[in-house]
Amino acid sequence: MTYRFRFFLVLTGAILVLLAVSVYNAYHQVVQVSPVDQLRTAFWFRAWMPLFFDHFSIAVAVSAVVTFSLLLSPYDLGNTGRLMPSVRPILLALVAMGLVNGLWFALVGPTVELRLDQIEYRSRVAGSARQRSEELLSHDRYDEALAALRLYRSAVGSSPELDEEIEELQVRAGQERRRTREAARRGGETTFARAFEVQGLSVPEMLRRARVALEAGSFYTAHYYASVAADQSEFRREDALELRAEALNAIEDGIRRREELEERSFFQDKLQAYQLMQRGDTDSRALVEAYYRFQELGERAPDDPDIRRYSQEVEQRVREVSFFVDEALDAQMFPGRQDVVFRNDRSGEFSELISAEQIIDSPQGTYLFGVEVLRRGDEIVHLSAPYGKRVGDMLVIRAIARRREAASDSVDEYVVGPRYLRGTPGRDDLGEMIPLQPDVDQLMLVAGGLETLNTLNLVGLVRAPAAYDAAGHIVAPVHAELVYRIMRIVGFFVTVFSSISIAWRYRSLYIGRPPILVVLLVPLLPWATWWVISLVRSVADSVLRALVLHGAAATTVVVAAGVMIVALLLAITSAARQQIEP
Amino acid sequence: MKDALLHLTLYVLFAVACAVAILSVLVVMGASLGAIVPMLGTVALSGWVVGMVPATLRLLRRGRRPVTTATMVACITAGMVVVAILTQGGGERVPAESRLLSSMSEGTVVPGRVYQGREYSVLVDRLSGNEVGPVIVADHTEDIDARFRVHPEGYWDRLHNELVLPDGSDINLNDLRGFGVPSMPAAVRNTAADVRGLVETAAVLWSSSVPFVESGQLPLILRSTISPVLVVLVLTLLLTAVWTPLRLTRWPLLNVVVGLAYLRAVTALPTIAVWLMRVEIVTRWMPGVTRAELVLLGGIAMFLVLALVALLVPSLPNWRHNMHFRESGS
Repeated sequence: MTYRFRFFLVLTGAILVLLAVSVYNAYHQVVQVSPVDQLRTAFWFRAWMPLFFDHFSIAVAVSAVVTFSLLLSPYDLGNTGRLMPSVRPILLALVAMGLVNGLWFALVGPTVELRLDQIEYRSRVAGSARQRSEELLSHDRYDEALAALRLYRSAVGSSPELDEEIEELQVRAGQERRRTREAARRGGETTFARAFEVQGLSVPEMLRRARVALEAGSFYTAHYYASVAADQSEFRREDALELRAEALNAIEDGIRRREELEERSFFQDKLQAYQLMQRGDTDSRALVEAYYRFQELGERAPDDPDIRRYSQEVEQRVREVSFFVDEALDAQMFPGRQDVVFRNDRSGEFSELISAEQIIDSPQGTYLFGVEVLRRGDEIVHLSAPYGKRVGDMLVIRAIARRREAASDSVDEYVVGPRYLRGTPGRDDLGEMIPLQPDVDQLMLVAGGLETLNTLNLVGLVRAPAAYDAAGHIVAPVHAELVYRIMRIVGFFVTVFSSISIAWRYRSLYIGRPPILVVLLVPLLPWATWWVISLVRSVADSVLRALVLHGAAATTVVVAAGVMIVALLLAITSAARQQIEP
Repeated sequence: MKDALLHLTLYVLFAVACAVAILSVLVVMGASLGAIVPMLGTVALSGWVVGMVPATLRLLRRGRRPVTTATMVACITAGMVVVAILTQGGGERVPAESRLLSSMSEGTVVPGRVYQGREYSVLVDRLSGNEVGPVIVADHTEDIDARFRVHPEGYWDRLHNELVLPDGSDINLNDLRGFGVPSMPAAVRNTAADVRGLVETAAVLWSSSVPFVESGQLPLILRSTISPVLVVLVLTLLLTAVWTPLRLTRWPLLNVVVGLAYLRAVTALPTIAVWLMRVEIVTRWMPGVTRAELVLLGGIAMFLVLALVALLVPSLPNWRHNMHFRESGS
């Protein structure tokens, strides 16, 4: 058995043990997070990785310690010379593993951590959305159930079954809406006897009813009664024929008059909508109203070139001061970041804090969900809004429905705006358009706070201090995380080379296999290696944080870099100095 | 004698280095200066014991007459144990009295900055001593309407590292990175707790009645001296017995690891005793035994096992020969 085979055998064993522990840990995570079925495989696939790579260097160090301390003897390596050149294949493999380790900490690891966080969040959202949908459905609140089910779909992705379920719910919601509208209409109408209820009526009775209907302006009913009376009469009834003619004239006259009235009303509505659009320059509410007016006019006259032109223009302008709720809901299917809190100070007179449950950067724009604004000045203003969108350098937190139902008589049904929890709207547009100080990239870096620094890759960590500063967060721990991450990358090589050096220097002096009692003590080696490396890591992390908090970050970075370089040089030199001597 | 003194100097140097390292780690991680004075005895003992490992290795490798040195080391260890027991205490986070490292051990909060954790975000406008206010808290835990809460005033309980808000629930600051002192890593925390537990148990035994016997039957002079002597003797023997694991095998690295593991096991005796009491394994055989007595009993058992092992391992000259060590004067 060559020395290389022995090393790789031990390494494989160590990695398999670590893998088993990682999978076991992943199992517990899966139980704890309980990802929805659609995301379970994706979660499983990634959940074992963080622990595995966190302890990867320990597994490699343990393999090096066991191999170089126990399984290799000078006889295996040619009895003379320096150690390093004789174990070149092992060194190459270790360097390759160091690169994998570096790649993990610099790039891949943060992506995996981010994805795991997202799956956890989506599972939470999906679970509650599904439950809410079922509850609402049991109370026949189809519209709300439909919204919850759509949210569920945006979290777990679409599937034929789910699409079918949503379509079915859409139909039921539509039917329910129609029923509501009809009930409302019926409630306000004066009922007349229906024209076809003529069975058993005598001709004079029908003529009487025709006259009543004619006087009441119900010309079609009058015409019907008069026609049936004229037909059923056994002789030619002039009065019936006259009544029918009179009703017919009234109908034709009414149609003409209605057309004129409609034309005039259409022109007036168009003018009003246009004026509202003009007012929209200074009044965003008027612009939103104009948008709906042009929508309604478009339905009445789809081919009107003015309406088409102004509809497009007003929609474009509405998008500058608001956004559509359905777009925000659609954006929820894109991955985002959770829990962003930032200072948004833009005046010396007050300080402003903004928080959002989720921030999503989608192709349609950047959306915020569960927005809350707290402004402290002479008085405290505290408001919340379910949706927000970045428009230019503003945060817009008033969303509107794409269409206004004809039956809607409350603004709340088609405008989803801020709700004031404390204070009142001021003269300015607080709660509708808020100038954003940090940019979106910075908010994405800050989202989740210091606990989610592990989801930032090395480039993100380099950019993070400026973002944290702009968002009014404490910056020092970000520097510490950056240094610590670099330490984990360089530390792999320090650990491994030190392990080889120490293991070889204090190797077993037994000739052949050591006694069984000694072999039984070998498990202490992994324990001790793990304990020492974990201790050094924890202490280094804590010392770094303490130093960065109490001193200049730049100095700490330079000192830490210097320490790492010295440690690496010492480890390599120490390993290089090891001799093969029997 | 000259050799013995030289080796003893080495012991002292290693002990001082270890003690300084332990103190630095404790200070950086929140054991403040105010708590260090009563801890000094325990820290000195810990430094001495940890320093004993490399010093003993060197002695075993090069010492011409290690018995003299070993005797002196045992005496010093006994003295250290006595000092640690008499000065035991401290180790808690209390406000520092010295300004030298107070900012490091007390931790700081930058007013006007957001500290965001998994569950809460906190912004403190003003910090004056332990008084804070106004404090803005954003609660990320629940799906609630108003996540922001404004508290006009609050109190920073540094002992428990909590933000006490009179009109709201208290906030555990250990979850907020960067707020206050960094939390101690588990490895350090557990080891420090075990060391403190061992010294505390020793102190309990020191001042208690004679273990395992009816002390009323003993003369007064014996009653007042037997417990302290027994405790110091057992602890000293246990600690200096690290000598045996350090020359247990012909594998130096394993010897060091076994030595350190042995010392860790000694410090864990009170924790093991607590576990044994809980599962009622020992109390069935020895009803009425106290936890401290169980620790003493465990220590004696460990020492006896080690003494047996010491008889079984090769003699020192043979072991040295097997290890290819040569005797020298330095």
